[in-house]
Amino acid sequence: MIRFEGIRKTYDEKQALAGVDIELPTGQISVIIGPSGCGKSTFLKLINRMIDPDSGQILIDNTPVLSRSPHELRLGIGYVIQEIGLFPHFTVEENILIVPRLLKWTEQKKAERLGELMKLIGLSDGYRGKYPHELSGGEAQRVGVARALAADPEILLMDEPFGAVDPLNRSVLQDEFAAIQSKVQKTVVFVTHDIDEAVRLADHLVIMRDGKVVQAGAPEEILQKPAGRFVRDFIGADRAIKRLSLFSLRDIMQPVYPARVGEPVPPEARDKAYVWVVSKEGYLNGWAELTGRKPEENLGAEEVTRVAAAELAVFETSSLRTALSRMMGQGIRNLPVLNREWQLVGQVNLRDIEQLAGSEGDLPKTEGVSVQ
Amino acid sequence: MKASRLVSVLSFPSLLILFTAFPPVQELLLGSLFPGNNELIYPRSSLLQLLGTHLVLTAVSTAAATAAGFLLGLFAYLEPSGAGRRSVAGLSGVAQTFPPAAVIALAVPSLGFGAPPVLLALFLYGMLPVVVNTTKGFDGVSPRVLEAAKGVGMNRIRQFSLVEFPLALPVILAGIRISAVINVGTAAIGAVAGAGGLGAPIIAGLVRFNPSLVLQGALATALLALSIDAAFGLIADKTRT
Repeated sequence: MIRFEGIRKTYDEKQALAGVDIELPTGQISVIIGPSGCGKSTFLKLINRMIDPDSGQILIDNTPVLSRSPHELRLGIGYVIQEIGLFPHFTVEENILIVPRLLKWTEQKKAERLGELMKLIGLSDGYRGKYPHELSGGEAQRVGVARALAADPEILLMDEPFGAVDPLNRSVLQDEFAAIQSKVQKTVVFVTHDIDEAVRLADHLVIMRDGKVVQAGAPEEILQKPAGRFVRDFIGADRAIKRLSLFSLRDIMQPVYPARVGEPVPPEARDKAYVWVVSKEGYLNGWAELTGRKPEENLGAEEVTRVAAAELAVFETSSLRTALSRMMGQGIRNLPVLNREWQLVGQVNLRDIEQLAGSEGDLPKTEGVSVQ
Repeated sequence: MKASRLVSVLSFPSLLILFTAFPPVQELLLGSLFPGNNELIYPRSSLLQLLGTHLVLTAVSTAAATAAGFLLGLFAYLEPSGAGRRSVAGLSGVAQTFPPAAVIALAVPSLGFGAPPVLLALFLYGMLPVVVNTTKGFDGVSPRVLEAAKGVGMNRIRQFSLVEFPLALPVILAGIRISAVINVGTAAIGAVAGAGGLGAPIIAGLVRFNPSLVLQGALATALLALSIDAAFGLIADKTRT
């Protein structure tokens, strides 16, 4: 656990942090967000002593960071910075293994760790000897994350790590990072100015303004009950839509009773206007009109309107936001929902999404971090 | 390395050796350019000996200029207030403003004739490119990379030896390269103070209105400068990442 106690920091009479008291929970992603100049970058750099406070103290697992020497402290804290900061004269391998090298690991231990990390970030062995200038922005960022994780630190500090990557690759990197975090379970402190990125990644969201924490807690709680006008404006008028990225379809999807060719339509589906049609293995084939046909008759192949599952369906792990944009894009109100094996497991209706987006009180409560 | 690159790197040194080591080659070449001239080559010492003296003058002065220039440049880079940077830049700028011939002339009364005044002039003259490129090389290291070096837990010595110095090195080497090439040319003036070197036939030729002697010295000087430049080019290829 990382605890800030009465932290103040002033640069040339400009107050960067004006008394911050907060706790960041272990094993979770805390996202620090706010407009530029709010002190969020200073906040991050105080943790690994890139900056020291004027007053107050920061405790990591009840040990004050100021009691440890800066470089020894930093060897135990992963650090990913803006525009990556890979060493341009080092290969990918040398970059990733810099902290193990400083810690004087054996060659065998380093080689094993490199293999694990390359696998974790999804780069093939062919990348080991490449130099940073030979990598794409996304690849370089993955290497940056691997470098930070190399010596398996408890804490990972990330200072706008995906800021220099284009939006499309950024969302890929965010998903990958979320997947990596679910494996490594680090205490992550992540600074960004991108509210969508914050909502997407945060277990805990800390909103800052003028060197102070204005609200901290679970993102759904903040989106639902923004504390005051500043937070409301900052998270944006589309906060209802932003909340949709917090939920996966699994939370709201409805059961389906699909039909199969050569069999009667299942009784549960007979009162509807149409039915989803699946193959014997449960893969989505299409749909069939039910109006004006006898329900107990076997479904004929000629009745099925075939659809491409990849274009129409969404996965149960996708967010409601993805489902909403799919509905808008395809102009339909009902989407089939697939599991990871591409089998039909449910459907989602526009009305269900609307209800959730508009609701104010029926969301699961998550305990917030304490803010004094 | 590509074969074409190797050929271009080796061509100037080969020509230099061919020309300086074999007086018949010199006589053949100069004789064809200046028919009827009865003193085609410098009589007092062989071109190869002069080349040796020239090389020593250049190497000693460039080595001293490199050491002093690097330390001054490093001081200017590390000194936090920026005052060191300004005074170092000013000082080495002044050093290069003096024409080398003037430095030699001014140094002769105290240092006497021969190599010492020439070495002093070459040292002062060769320092500026090293100083400038040293500060430029260190300044060119990206602040992000420095932050990363600090952030991963390197102490100050490791930040310097693992990151700052290797990244600045190609630019510093470029400064040493300029310094060495300038010094090869400037060392030719050393002959006026009696330091010998490839300037000796040039001065003698000018005094005696003998263009063949001037060309003999000038050609060897030019080939030496090109050879040294090619050698540094080879080192630059190696350090570039």
